[in-house]
Amino acid sequence: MRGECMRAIWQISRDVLLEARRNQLFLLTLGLSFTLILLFTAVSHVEESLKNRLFSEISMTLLWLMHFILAIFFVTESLYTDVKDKSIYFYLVRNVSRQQYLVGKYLGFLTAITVSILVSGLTVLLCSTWLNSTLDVKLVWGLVFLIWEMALIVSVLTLLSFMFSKLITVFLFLFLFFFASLLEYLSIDSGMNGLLSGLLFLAPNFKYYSYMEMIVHAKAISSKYIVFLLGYTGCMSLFYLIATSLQFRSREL
Amino acid sequence: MLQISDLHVGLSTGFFKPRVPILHGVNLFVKQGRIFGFLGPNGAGKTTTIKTVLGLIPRYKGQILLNGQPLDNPSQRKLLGYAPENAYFTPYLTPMEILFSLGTLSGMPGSEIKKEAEYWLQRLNLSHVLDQQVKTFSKGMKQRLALCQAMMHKPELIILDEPTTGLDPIGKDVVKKLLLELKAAGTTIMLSSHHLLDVQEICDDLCIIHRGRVLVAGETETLLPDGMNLEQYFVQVVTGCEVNV
Repeated sequence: MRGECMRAIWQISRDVLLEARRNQLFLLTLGLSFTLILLFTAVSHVEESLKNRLFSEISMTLLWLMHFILAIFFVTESLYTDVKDKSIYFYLVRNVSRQQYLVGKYLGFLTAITVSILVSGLTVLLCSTWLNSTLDVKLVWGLVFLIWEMALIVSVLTLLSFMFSKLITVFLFLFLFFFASLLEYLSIDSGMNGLLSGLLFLAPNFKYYSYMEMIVHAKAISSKYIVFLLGYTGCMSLFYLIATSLQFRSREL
Repeated sequence: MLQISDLHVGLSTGFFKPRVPILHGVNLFVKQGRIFGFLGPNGAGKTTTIKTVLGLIPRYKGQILLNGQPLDNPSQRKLLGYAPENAYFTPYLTPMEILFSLGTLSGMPGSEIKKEAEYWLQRLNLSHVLDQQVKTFSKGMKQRLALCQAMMHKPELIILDEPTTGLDPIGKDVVKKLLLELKAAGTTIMLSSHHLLDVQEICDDLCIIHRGRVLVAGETETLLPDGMNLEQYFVQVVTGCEVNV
């Protein structure tokens, strides 16, 4: 029984990966990431002042931005089209529960985006090592944090995509993201009172500023911070997936 | 085989809006090894009934039994095959990839999937586009692919919602012969269609539904008055008008 359940989840994830491999948005994101990283490496090689800190900052921001856009459009388009065009029927009329479909899709999206981050991240690492003659370990941590952030982003997008149309999902997600980022910025900049801290904890906070600041300003990344970020991302992603599952369970298709 | 008793379904029309009743106590019985024609004008509730049977509409009142077992359990759905009206598939996948995925989800082993997929793609004239992405397919080709996936795992009951939509006359003829072959092999078929003369030709049993209520149900031969074809009978039953034969 458990084997069948896992096989269904794996098969649905595999379909998402196949879809991603041929999706033009996916290929465009990877191509643009490569081009921009290589261009910036060339400029940094010529201009001494761009090495080290600025290279790390710009390349990590670039990776974040490209995958942020990719996640929004890939997840929203795929889930919305599945329901609108009714291709979801072919899965759900078989021995597949809605929860299995949901988890399979989520893992498929996350794996596809992770592969893209790892491929373009490896390029950043190689370029950084070539420019500075040393491997910047903080960049590796940056990639790990970026993948965690994507886990949360995909779970929020999954919930919104099952509830709203494509356009509303994108607008609502951007609103949530900028609201949470503003709170995060305020907390770093001026500290926060109890109410704002509570809001910050409950909002799907992506901790973007925290880890980017650490990497860019070469601050030490404590094990306490890593555990907190992992725990936070895991719990929040799970929370959004459970909310999606509850919403999806009673939905008419 | 399939028994639907006192089925009531209401559909949601948006946040904070009351549900609109669609089905008002539908009763049906689809007998084993026969072709059951499920007919009705547009908006009668045919697709809603089919979607409820398939578990796509989870909130309903009444009972749906397949071989005496409730259909709420997804594992019961192994016994079902379904092809929707206007089939759409993930556009970036090829027919073989789609059939492999759906065959796996139906619990078929890999070697059998390959054999069955090749057979059905050949039968429905899709063997020349095995490695072509579905986004390049015409409506009729997608419809034929939908039929392949509905039949490849050898289900006991096949539910077809307008299976000949988008098919050319040759395609329609292939499907008609295929359904008769499946029936001869013991498969039960529930078919919803507006091509009433074809339905009359192949269906053993009929049910006409209108505004969420079953108007008539029974064997085709018994239901149809002498000298009247199904189109005339359908119009008569639905509009309540006598048709001059």
